[in-house]
Amino acid sequence: MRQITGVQIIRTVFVLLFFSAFFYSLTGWPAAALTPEEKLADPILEDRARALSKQLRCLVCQNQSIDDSDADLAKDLRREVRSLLQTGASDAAILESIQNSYGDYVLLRPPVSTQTLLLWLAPVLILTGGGLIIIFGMRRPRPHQTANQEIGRHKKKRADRQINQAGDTEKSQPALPVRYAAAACIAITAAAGLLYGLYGRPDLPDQPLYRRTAELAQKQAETKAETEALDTAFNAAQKAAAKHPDDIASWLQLALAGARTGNSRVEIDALQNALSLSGDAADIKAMIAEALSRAAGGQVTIPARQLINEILQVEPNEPRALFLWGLAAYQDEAYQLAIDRWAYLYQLSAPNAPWRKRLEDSIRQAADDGGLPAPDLPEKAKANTSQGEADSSQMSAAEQQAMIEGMVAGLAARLEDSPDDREGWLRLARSYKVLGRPDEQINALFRAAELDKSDIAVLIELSEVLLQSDESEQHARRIGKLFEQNEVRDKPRFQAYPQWLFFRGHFALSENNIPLARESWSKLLAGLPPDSELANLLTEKLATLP
Amino acid sequence: MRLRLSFILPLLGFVILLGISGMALLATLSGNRDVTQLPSVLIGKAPPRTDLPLLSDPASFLDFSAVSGQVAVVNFFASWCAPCRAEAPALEALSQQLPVIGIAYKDKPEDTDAFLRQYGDPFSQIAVDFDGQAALRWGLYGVPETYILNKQGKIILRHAGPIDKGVMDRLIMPAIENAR
Repeated sequence: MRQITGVQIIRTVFVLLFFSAFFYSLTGWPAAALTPEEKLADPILEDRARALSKQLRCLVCQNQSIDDSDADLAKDLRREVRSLLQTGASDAAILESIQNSYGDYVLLRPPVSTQTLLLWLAPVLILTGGGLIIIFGMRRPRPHQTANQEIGRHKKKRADRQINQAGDTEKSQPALPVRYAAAACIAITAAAGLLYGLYGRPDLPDQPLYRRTAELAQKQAETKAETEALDTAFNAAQKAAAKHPDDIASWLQLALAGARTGNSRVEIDALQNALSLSGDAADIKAMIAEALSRAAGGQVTIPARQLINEILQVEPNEPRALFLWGLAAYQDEAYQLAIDRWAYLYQLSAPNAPWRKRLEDSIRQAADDGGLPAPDLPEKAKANTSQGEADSSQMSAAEQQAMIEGMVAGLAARLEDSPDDREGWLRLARSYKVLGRPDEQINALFRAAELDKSDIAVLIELSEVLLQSDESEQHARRIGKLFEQNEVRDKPRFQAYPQWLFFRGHFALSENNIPLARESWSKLLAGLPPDSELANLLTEKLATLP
Repeated sequence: MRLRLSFILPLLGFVILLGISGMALLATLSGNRDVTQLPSVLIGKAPPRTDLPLLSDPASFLDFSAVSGQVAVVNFFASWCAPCRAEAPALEALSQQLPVIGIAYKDKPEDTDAFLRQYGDPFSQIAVDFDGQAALRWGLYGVPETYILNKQGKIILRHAGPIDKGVMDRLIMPAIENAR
């Protein structure tokens, strides 16, 4: 019977620990830390965001990627990655931008440099070293592992001698494992060569890094200089516009700088300023429509469509508006219409117009997507009279209005089928607002407000619209009921919107509920600075109450 | 006794590792290397673009040109951060001799105001980085974090963590003296 020693027990425990740790690690794949609201709507961008997040280190919990980490800083970095992605930055540019602030350390796969050389070579060194030790170790049989530890020094020496003698006899015939190892080395080398021949590209010339470093450094310097130039231009434009707020050119310059640095809010604001200075110039309006679409990730939104419509009625051949008009049709999957509109713009354009190439590509794309024959693109027709162009365009503007109305009608019909879609009602209300149909807008807002009675913002928007329209008693009763239900349920939130008191009083008065009107306005008056305009108005109003 | 290769190789590896760790240890002990601080890549560079509104006037923006030509301090802080309270006296002392720009990191303006009333306001300008995105460009790890700009407006020092007496004497003051 074998005797079990303490060493064996310890060894067994360690082996068990190792395996349980290994299997435990398999069950515990780290779950991603990102929360649903962080996700981007576009699945392709979201995939890129996830892939990038996995390459970035969370600086506060340093062995996790920002994809795995719950830390606030990781969350901020994830948001930064996503917002950069939405500006259209490439993966490399995003990594570089974050690396510029946090250094190589933020990359989970650090670049090879003199400082990280040892890190990169470590696996090779360890593998080679370990391999050498194993190979050299195998050439001599080692003392028997199971040799009894209790045996004395004398006995051990004798055993060593025996083993050494055995070693001498074995030298003439190498141990079996060595032969296997040698065979494996040769086989692996041969297999690697074979695989390279099958899947590699031995025909391509070498492109070692050292020959490209100059080229890469130059490229890097160029992009860096470019972003810096853009930033300086942006700052300069911002200052110039602040200094000369009456100069259209300075606002346009700022808009351009905003567009180049991906700052769409500044861009749109600057264009709005330029537009009001120019007295509604069609080309600036078209730029706004373009900026709005760009800010919406390329979608020609309803406000943008409304602008395009206005432009084309005044200036039927405004090229930017015409292009967006075609794009709108393309996005509605009305491919034939898109092709017609783009073809119209194409035949208007001068042969050297910068957008011709893009237009050709767009038309081809629309034809592909719609399974339609690509049209023959005519050269600029010389005989085209401006009268004829204007006519066709006027007709199409009406047609476009009809199209928007059709879309809205579709949404309204869908909502009748699923009336619980609050977001849908809000969207419908916005569309009606754009179309200038207040009655329908009020109705849609009522539906949304009644679906979620705690949404005070909707209630206030509704109140404002009602105030501007010819309100009926029925409306006052309906909104009065909403105010009543709200007060009980969600008082603290109401305090954030003091307007609600004004509106509650107003609609209470319409319903002839004098005590409630008095109570609401008195309460509001108490919270207002005395002698403010509104306070005076309220005092006046309260005095006239019966 | 013959020295075997299988004995020499691991020994060699061990000696190399020992050498590397020994060098790192010596550097740490002699004070040339602080293990709690990761290096900032911004050293020697101008501050990154920081278009942040001012606490006092949200319509105007933080402007580093106001301190150009002077040695200046930039301090990221927040009312919710306990170490920021601890370093308030240190910043007060610094503000006696040079401009200190404050950036309120992920903090509600009303909370920042309350914090400044309670612990003093050493700042010549205070900008609000409400969502913490501008701090990412500085490579911020957390608050408090302090940067020193030289007269040319370049960053010469970054310190993550509160400024205590040791940090003040060992890092901050020598850097300021050097830059003057």
